[in-house]
Amino acid sequence: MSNLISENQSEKTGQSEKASFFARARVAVKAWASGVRNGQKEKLREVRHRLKNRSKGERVIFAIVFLLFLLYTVSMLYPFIWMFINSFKPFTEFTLDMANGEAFAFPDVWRGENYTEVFSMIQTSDGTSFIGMTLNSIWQSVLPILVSTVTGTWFAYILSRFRFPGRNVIYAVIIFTMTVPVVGNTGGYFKLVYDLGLYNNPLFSVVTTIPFGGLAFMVYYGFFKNIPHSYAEAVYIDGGGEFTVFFRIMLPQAKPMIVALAITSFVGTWNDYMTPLLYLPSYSTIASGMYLVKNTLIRTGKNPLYYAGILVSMIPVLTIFLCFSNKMMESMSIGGLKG
Amino acid sequence: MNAEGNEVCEQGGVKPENAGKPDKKRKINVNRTLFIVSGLILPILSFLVFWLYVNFNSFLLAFQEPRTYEWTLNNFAQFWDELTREGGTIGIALGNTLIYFAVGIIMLFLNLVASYFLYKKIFMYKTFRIIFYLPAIISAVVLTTVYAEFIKPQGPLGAILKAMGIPMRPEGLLGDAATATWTIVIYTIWSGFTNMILFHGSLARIPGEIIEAAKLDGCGPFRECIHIVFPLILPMFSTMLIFNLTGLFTASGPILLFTPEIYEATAYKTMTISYWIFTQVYGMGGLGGSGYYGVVSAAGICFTLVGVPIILLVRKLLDKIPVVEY
Repeated sequence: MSNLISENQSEKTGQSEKASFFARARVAVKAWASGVRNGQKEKLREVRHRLKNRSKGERVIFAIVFLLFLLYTVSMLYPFIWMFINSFKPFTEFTLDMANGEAFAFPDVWRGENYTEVFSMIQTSDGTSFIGMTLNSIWQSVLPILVSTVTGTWFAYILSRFRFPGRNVIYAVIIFTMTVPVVGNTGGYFKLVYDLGLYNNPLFSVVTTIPFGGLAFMVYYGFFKNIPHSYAEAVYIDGGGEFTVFFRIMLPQAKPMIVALAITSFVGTWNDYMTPLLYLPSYSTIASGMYLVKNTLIRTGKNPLYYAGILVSMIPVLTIFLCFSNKMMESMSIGGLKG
Repeated sequence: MNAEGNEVCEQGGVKPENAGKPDKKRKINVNRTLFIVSGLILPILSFLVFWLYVNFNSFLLAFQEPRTYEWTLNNFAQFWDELTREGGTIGIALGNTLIYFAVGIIMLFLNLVASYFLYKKIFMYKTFRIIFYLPAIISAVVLTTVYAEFIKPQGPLGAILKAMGIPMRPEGLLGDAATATWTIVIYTIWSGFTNMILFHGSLARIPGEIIEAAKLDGCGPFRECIHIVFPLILPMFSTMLIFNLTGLFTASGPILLFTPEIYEATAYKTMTISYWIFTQVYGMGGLGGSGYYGVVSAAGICFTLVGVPIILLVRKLLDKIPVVEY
């Protein structure tokens, strides 16, 4: 009997062990699922909470604003979708569709070659290809960022850290240049650039981008002012000088901010069509080059090719935006801190 | 830059270790001077050459004949004539510039309103935030093309209007002198919600407890908006306002990018001051510039002289408003 019982028991325990394994697994899965569900519920609850917190009048206003926002979203996205669809049309089909008032027609033939032709057929009058424009865009955005970041942070650090004769004058001049808008000095600027031999010279991207003041300066200045200088003491003890302190200690501290500002300024220079158009005409970037080829392509009815080129040209910046959108938004609010 | 400056650090008062030993101290001082001088030299040179010299030179250009560089006041006379004459280019440009400026100010308020609803977490606010910011990411060349192609008489807008029984004129909205400027103004509105991100940043920093406390005291949404939220982001708002004001005489849409669609005969109707300056300096003589900088510089001096007092005045007024720290 005792044997039986014990067997029975052992059987039971075996079962229960098995069962407990499954049970545990089931519990774990359940917990996970309920976690997910709870997360969703939480979200729903939050949305409901938000809704509940709003009075009837508020809810109406929010609904109207939501509709307006939705309309805006459509107006922002639909033209690109339209462009995307039309970028696949053969040239003649596009011209015929437009002439017949069938702007919304889908392509009869989807012509994917438009996209390969972006790289072979889009060319400025001086022979810069799409690839060439991309390369020009890259160096014309990266060089100014490197130059302005190093000189700009260094300058801001010195002004925020040291007192020396003339410091207050320099600071006052910076504020002055930032508040006084000078109109109509482009003539003088253009003449100077020409006289210095910087016109159509890649050095232009280096020499003219050394910042004196500006928004980035204010951000860096405020940042370095708030870093405790005790970090630097270890360097002094080891016999290091100010260069070591700045490049080894201070710059790395400012890295997140530098990255945020660099991304923002990268997008700005990447999209800048004016500067290359005016000062570096032989070095067309994507922005200025696509502007230059626009007339010829659209006048000769090659709109689909142009649309394809435009859409391809957006890829780099959009990729960067999607990867760093949070950082960029952050940097915008850094810039906005207390003005 | 000299011994006195090298001694004192503004913060922390860090005195180099072993300050007592004259040799080491001198070494540190030399190092520090070198660091300061080499960091200052490039930005200051940049300022002297590209700001001071440029502005000084364009000041002189305003008083010189374009070709002979003889002293004259003709540039100012010509500027005044173009400004006041019926149909004068600068007069039209000034009018259009003021339109763009006013729209810019209105957009500042609209941005604020939009960001308020994002802050209040309207449904899908995260998506909207990205959509509103897109025009800052996408190149203006792309955005203007998309816009111009969309509103062409043969394009989607033309097709829609035709279906509704209102056929568009063949020259299109941008080709018609009467509608061209307003079409570009609508473009600037359409693409002008990017500042919303700045306001959103400062709204997000408002402590939730303040809002909660106000709610407990029976503060409705309208009063919450006027009495709590707005005063708290006023510093941001006034900064943006001043920033906008500095563009009083340079406000403009991307007119150059719309030029293929704007017919040449009517182009002067869409003129703004900054675009006028552009055509004077670069446009006329091809990419080498026209060399006729005299009138541009004269106009620049006049506009700067009018603009600066306005900005200083507004600054002073805004400074009087107490700033709440939080």
